Amino acid sequence: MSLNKVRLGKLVQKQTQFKLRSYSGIFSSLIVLQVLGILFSLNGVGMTGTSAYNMSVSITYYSADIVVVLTLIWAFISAILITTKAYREDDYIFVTNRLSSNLSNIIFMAIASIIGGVTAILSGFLLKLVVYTFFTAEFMHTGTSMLLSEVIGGAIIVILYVFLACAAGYLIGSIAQMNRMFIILVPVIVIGTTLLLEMSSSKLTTYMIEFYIYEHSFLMSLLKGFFTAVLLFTLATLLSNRKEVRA
Amino acid sequence: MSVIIFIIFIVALVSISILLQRYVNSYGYRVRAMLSGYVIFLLLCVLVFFLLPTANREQEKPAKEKEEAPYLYELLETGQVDQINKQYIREKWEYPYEATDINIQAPDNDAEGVTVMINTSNGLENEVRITFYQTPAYVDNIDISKKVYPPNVKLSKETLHIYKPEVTEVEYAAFTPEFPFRQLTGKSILDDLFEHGQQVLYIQIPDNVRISTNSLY
Amino acid sequence: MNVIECDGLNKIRGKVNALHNLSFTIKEDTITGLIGRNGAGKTTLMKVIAGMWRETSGTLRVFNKQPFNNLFVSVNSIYIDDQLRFNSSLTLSEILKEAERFYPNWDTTLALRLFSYFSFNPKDIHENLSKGKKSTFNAIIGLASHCALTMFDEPTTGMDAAVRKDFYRALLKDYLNNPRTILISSHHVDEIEDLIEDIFLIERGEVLAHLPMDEFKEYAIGLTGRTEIVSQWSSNKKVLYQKTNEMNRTFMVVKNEAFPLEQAKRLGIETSSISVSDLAIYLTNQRKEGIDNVFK
Repeated sequence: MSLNKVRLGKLVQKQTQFKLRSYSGIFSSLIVLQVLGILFSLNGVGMTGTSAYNMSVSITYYSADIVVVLTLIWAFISAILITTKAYREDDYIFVTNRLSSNLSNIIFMAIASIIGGVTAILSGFLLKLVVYTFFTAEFMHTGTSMLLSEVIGGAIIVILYVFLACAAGYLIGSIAQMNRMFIILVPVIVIGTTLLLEMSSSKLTTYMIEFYIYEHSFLMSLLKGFFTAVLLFTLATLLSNRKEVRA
Repeated sequence: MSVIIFIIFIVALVSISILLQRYVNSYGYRVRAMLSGYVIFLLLCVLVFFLLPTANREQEKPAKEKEEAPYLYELLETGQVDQINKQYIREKWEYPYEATDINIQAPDNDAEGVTVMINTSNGLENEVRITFYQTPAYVDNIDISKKVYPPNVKLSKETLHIYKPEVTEVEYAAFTPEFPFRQLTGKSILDDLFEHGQQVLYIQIPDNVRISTNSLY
Repeated sequence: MNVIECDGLNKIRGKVNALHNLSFTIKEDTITGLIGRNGAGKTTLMKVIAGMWRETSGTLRVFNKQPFNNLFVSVNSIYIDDQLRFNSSLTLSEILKEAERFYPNWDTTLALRLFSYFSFNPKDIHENLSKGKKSTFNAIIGLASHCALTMFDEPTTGMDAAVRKDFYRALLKDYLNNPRTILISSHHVDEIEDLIEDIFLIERGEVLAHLPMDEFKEYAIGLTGRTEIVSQWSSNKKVLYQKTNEMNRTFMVVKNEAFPLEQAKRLGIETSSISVSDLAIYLTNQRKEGIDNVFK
């Protein structure tokens, strides 16, 4: 039988297509979650009110913030699940090595992030339509118009955050998969430290979030997010490069 | 804490739904069709949204330059009544008055009351003149001045009754861009959009009339 | 050309020495039967060869390359066992299409003909198949991939007798049409004995025998006769099995080493040939007495 050669790039492309076709659970959960997010958003994300003299004014703000947050959580969980045995073994039925498996996972997650990010932003319009159609309050028109550059920039940042959530989940999942002990240990440590930091009112988590959120420059946001993702994915790839499969 | 419970709930929801699809038959092509349908539906929403007449009102009606309203109290206190533009007069009452005493019954000035100012140095004779001045109140770019009820004034015999106006409750809905957009534009979610304007009920009484009031004023 | 070259291969899993100092070579275009008892190391060996597991020490070369993390080995080899789990998002026919995309030598015609011969429903989901059907489907993938190194680990688990026969026949026919290196493991030696060219007998992670099938059939001989005579006669021979009955007659299996059979006959010892499956059991059975001993 003739022997064949396969190029890494070509294989990664095939694997990515395979994943897009077969990891359907990830996308159906996205839809469910975003619809849920829109329902939650009908309550408004913020309210401001004032009263002076004989008038009392209240403004309810509507925004797809909740949808975006749910999309981030979705990305995080999906990335963790991709590192689990069941999903990893999908690759080993066919042609793969650890590097191509990781690379195709990363590209899959990048595409999933684009889909998740764009639908999250678009769902904001669905929300607005629902609010316009069924709500009686008068509308103020702040926040509906943005410059095209702002829209595109914002959309890229949303996608980047979704991708970052993937990267974080992927690294955590990869660590958890290294050893059976870690499967229990990692969630305990992650949740434990988060709660501990929360309780001790340490500024660390806040600072970490602010490092990304309080960056007003588009380019800097892009760079910060991109390099963080690259760092997380590199670590995950290195960690899983010696992992035995189908054990 | 409730946030954490909510997040745990969502995490469980996502994990279960993804894992279910890993092991239970879920035809991938159905999900792909569903996803395409969802994206098309969202795109249609965008289209409809921009076709909606209300959605584009802001573009039709550009925010008009808000004029700087004068500081009413100062003008009234220093007697520069003439300086106040007639457009700020919302309501005016004039009563002929010949008695030598007047009792003013006004609600407390604090809380949601309207500032009441009494002026006696005016050269009026046998007449009580009450003017309700109001500078425009805005919510964002919407002028809500006309929605505000003016106080009610009634003169019976020697008592001038000032009734607290009804409180106007205005509810608005506003859209705000999602947080990554706010991050870039530096906007906060709750911008200060209010401008209350000023409301003064200016009572002019001839200086030969003795005034008694129910409050400190 | 050797497809697999292995020298002093060790694989430690946890605390178990699953493969112990294995050295062997597998030639190109041969069917080798990997025979051993449960836990002998068959699966471990195949998974290491497939590059799924990493060898602990020693050298292993598949197509002259170290298989772990090697794309060349991955694209030219396939490992089929009954643990294969496919994502439930894909229907059976979609899985076949995916396999076609990955394996350059994929034989679409063969795959589809086998698929319809075993009456699979293209819209079925792998997870919902019965155990035997799953094995059959996996076997189709293994056959149609036409990989230069094809490994079947207990491929017939759950299949009924008729399907087993069909599978082995299909394997043989396809092998004749498209010669390639095939490793097949099984508990049922008798089923594959006509199929395989070489036998690879493994026990406790060590090679007991790696011989062409013809030689293996002649590997041992059975001797039956009075206990004293048989024992004395076989004193310097390698005894694989021995059983004495109440009539003071002993059945003994010894390694076949140029016996003076005429002499044996004169002494009243009957000789008999040993079936391959029995021989495999005798060779891999470390306990001389067998299960009967437990009930004594």
